[in-house]
Amino acid sequence: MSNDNLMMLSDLPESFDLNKKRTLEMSAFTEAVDKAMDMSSPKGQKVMSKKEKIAALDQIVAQGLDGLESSQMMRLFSAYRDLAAFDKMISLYDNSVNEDFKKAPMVREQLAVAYRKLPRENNSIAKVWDYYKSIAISKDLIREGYGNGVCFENIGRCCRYIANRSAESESSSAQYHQQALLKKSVQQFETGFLNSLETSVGVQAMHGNIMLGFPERAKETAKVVYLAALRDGAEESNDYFCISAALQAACIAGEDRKTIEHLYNQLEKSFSFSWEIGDIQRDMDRIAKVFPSENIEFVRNSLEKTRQEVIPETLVKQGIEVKTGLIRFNREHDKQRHMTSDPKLRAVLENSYNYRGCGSTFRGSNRVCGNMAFGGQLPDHAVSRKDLRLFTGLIKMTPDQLGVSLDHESGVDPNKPLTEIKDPEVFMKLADQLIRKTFSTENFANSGLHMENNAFQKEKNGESLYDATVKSVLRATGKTIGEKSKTIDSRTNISAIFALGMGDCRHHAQVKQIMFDMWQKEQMNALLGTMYRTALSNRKISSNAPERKEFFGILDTELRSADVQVMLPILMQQGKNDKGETWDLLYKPELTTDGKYVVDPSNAQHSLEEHTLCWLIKRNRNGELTAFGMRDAFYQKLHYEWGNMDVDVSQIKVNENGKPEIPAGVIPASKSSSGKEIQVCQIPTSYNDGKRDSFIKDSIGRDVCLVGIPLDGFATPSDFLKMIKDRNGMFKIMENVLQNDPENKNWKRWLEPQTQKQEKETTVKKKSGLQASIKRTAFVSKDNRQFFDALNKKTR
Amino acid sequence: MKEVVYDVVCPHCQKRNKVFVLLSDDFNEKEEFHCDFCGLEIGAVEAAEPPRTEYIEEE
Repeated sequence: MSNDNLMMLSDLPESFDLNKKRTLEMSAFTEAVDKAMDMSSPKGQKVMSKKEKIAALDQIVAQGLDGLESSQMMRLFSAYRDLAAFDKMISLYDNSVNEDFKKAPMVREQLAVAYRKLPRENNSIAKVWDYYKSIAISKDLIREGYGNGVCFENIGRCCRYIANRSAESESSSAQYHQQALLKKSVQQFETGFLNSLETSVGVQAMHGNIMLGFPERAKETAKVVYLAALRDGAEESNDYFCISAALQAACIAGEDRKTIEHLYNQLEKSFSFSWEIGDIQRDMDRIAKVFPSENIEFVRNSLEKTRQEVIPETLVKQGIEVKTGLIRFNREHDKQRHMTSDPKLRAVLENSYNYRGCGSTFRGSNRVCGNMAFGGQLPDHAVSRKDLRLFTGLIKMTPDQLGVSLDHESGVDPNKPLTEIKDPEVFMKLADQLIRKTFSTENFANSGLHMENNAFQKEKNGESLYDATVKSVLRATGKTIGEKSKTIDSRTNISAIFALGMGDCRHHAQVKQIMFDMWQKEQMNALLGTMYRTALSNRKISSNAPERKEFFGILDTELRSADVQVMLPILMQQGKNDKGETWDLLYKPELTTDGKYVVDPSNAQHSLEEHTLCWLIKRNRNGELTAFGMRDAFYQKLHYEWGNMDVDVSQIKVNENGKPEIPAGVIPASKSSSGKEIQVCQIPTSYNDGKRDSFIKDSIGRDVCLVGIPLDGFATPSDFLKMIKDRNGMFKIMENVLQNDPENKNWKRWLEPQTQKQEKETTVKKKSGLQASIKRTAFVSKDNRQFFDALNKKTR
Repeated sequence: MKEVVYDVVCPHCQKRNKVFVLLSDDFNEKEEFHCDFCGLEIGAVEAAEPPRTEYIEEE
């Protein structure tokens, strides 16, 4: 195929069989590639060697590339890359006929890297040719408007490597050429950093200026690199190179001892191999020659102590530098992940996550795993460069274009982009409006279902209309609910789920999180850009610079998503197993006959429900939690007022396991069996461990998938907006999917017009305690009926 | 520039590898390297060019 078979969302209702076939084919392909790369060996057999793995992948390639989709090509491409088979990557790319794959910027970035890394033994001319080819691919991408940090970094590295080879020659012209290439290399890193503000490029611009003998320029660059590293979450990173860059930049920029000590502790935790200590020691020695300081001496002394601790001299042989592989420390590391000694701040940060720095890595796509591979119903939640681009596009639009508004007093100009709003609260109000409108939170797909009631309001078949629609969409994408398969691709980009408008609390939080993070990133990048332009014009960036102050103001205000249990001292209905063991049933509180919560006489806390929401966290530069609030896009009108609830920081407790216990308002006395208010508390769920995203290997960075099926129609942010605004169109798609699903639990009959429908009384237990059991006729909503009547007329 | 040789045990297949790393006298760049036996990435190292690995056959 010359292009991918992308599906329009409108094709979904008619695609059950097609997607089933497609899912099976894709799964079989994934299984074949995974088998080729399998590390485990059957009992008594040797581990498959690289040669054998490559031969197995070659066999798949030999079956023909013509029918392969981009994601399949990418899986092969990545598999070769994982084996360092760079020659195979190049030939796979050359032989591919899929233009979507060949044109994808992420694929071409990797191709450029493959040329750079392709081994050529002692053939120096061939290697220099590879470097020039690699530069040419990166330059093409820059010319086409895809010049990100990876492209500039690649050009800079290639120039440096060619310069190194020139240095081998003793001729004066070669050495002149070497200097010119070094200057060109630094220029590329500087341009790359200015364009992308990516730390990995900035640190090389900083090193390059030291090498060229421009220490002042290097120092000013370091100031911006350090801030860019903080923007990307360096403070809590576990990545050796990220922390090493942040530490070097902080030392050169003259940051305080507390910062240096924290980064050093993080660095020590990140060491896996002995040479990592040697590498940073070499870098710090060079930095010390140009920027001597007490902080640098502290780092050098600490590094030497660590080296002596983990690398016994006896293992360093004479003549060549032979070192053992993995490092083992005989002591516990400092477990602190954040630059704070405030236990409250640490507890809330370590039990939440955001997207700062996400999607900017080389592979470009991240996922938070769902549970479909284990037979569950939760697809993998994916965030790719494409999602970042689409959501960044949205926040560059005006409230008018997005169809949201605030009153005149808010000061929001309906004709200016959201990026111009400075107040996070104002931004979040507009974001909430857009999110709730798109997910039709207060009247799901015009069905009368208020999504805030969804967890508690089920029909007799145990489902709500929303639950049934989710299951039908899973089946429409060719998935079998309950089937366990590791190779099932359930990747669901946040853009796809938002465009369709099918989201529960998790999706509300994820969309709000990504919008907020992109909005903050735009603001931080604008400030970093201003500061870096100062550095490039050989002027100093003052520690009191207004841009720097503003930057920290944004950095220290974080929106973070958290998975929490909602705890109350109320009795819950009990589950029971064969052994007679009992446990609290989530979402099923005991209620009095008049629908009030039954307070537990022992005052013990019980988990009413699990929920995902956003917390707004503010801290000061001393690393103290100064403000905390719920900024939930989901629970705003019913049950809890978490849309904008501030919490007194002094009331937050940290338990013996370091988990925060956060007061979250009260249930009014009128809804309590005791006649007194019931305190609500949030604690992190057992599976909440902060950041949990992992890389996706079969994404070309451009694809938007719905439960593993690549979608069409997401080319630009304007296309994305068109779908977001087409609510009635999307409602119709969801309704048709539900109607066409042969496995749905009688929802088809429920959706039939009133005259043909068997009147059926359904008891809906609304267990939130707001009301007792409500008797209602199924399909009660007038709006709902009118909507489906109108649909039926249209269909006829 | 000088070449250093690291003796590395692959964390995936436990085979020993010699990793030949060319180091410049100045700052180097981060480059990944792979096990020459099983092919999987072992880690990254600062180097003046992408490193080369050789699997050490043991008796």
